[in-house]
Amino acid sequence: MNKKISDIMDCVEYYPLSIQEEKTQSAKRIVNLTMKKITAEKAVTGSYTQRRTRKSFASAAIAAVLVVALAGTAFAIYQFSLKDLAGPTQIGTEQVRTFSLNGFKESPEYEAAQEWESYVNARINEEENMAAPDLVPDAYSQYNAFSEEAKDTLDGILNKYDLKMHDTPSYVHSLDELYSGLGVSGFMPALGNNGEYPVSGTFYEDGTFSFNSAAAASNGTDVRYQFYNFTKGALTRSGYLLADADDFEEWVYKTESGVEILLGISENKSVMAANLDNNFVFINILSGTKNNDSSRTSFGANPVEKSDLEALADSFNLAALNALAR
Amino acid sequence: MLDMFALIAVRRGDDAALEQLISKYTPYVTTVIRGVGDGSITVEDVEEIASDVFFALWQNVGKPNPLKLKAYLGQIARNKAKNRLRSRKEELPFEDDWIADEGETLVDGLTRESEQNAVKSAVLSLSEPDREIFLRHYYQLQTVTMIADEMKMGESAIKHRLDRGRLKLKAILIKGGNSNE
Repeated sequence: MNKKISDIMDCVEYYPLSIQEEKTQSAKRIVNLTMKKITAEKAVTGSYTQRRTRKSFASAAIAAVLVVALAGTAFAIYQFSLKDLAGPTQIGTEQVRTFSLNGFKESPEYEAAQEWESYVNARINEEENMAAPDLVPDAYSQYNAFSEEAKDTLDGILNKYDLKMHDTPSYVHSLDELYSGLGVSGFMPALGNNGEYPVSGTFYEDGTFSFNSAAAASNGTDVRYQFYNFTKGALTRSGYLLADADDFEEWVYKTESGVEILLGISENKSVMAANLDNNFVFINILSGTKNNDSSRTSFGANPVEKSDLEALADSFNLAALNALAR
Repeated sequence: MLDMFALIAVRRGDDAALEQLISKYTPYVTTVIRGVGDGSITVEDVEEIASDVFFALWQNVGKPNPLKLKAYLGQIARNKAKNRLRSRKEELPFEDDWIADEGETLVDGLTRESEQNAVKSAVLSLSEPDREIFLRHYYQLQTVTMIADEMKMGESAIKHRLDRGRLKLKAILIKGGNSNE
């Protein structure tokens, strides 16, 4: 098959040769031309934001009808349960029960994560995909894709689910750094330990981030948690939480910011999950109703009640996070 | 405003952020467009193509890596200028644009990403001035005459270096095709 070099170069995102930029064209005229095209496009298709708003309103209307029909039964209408987070049942050679952190079942992010993790787990001992000692990390490295076959497989999965791959992450060691990196602030609660609790985390260019912190609970103690915010449209390699949905009591809670969130509490851990328009939020709380296993007693973590989880959920401004995501 | 924050704002429907990006990158985008081909693109065409580039950015605001926005816009600008020349049925002035002879299997087994990586790898492996010449001709679509004039070299020297670049690209892509058999 013959190929034209000039056509092959079409797909190369190559940083151009250094060029002497010539300011001979009016930016204002180009702005006007561009905005005219955008206005025409919006008139035909509706803006992205407008489409989203119409869809959300329709969903809310249907949900409202269902709530009226079931009045008196004390059900909260929420389309997902903790069982919809079920992740792989085998990691390496170990049989486990897990929660996926990438989203609820059947979302492209969830499905892509499952496929990729299955591929990685099946080859966990293969030398061909081990990182070489002189490896220069690239964006594929964070997904454990080191061989060409692995990279091609990952690309295939991303194409199949129309997802992007993240670039290399940025690391933060304070809430201020996270706010600065994301360009939005004030959506996290006050830090525990009188504001001195250390924070560590990462964020990506699209607003995806994760970090570990602790908040001051209503019982005067600190509640440690791991916060994950995944912008939809990208595959994030986040690992899995060892958890079994059958161990949890779950309920739906509407936070002060107006966002509904799924809460779950068990003896030694609690979870929160919210499927927002633009992102998926998962919070692993390192406390439950009893805290009687060694991972809790060794840190002296105090148990929590349902009201503590609801107060913690209120302290996250999830509506602001939904606006942040891209 | 940093590109990352501007892109987030554009995604939220902030027209002022898009206008800022347009103002920032107009000199670069228009220079790339004017540099494509033999310089026959008119002023009006440049403005039209540039607005197409930024319209494409608005339509696909989630795609570019914010740290490489300039390269992304450059690629779009280059491709749209090339398409404009083709639509006017203007001959694009290439030296031996074809990369494979009859009977050779080339890049069939490679995914699009592998092909892109192979081409980039081949181009980056060229030493200067071969790399600059190769990119001027096959990426910026400049004629041999223009390249010779701007780089103060003879035309036959330019052609010779282009030939070396083609051989290198061909070797890498054929090797990639064979490895999938």
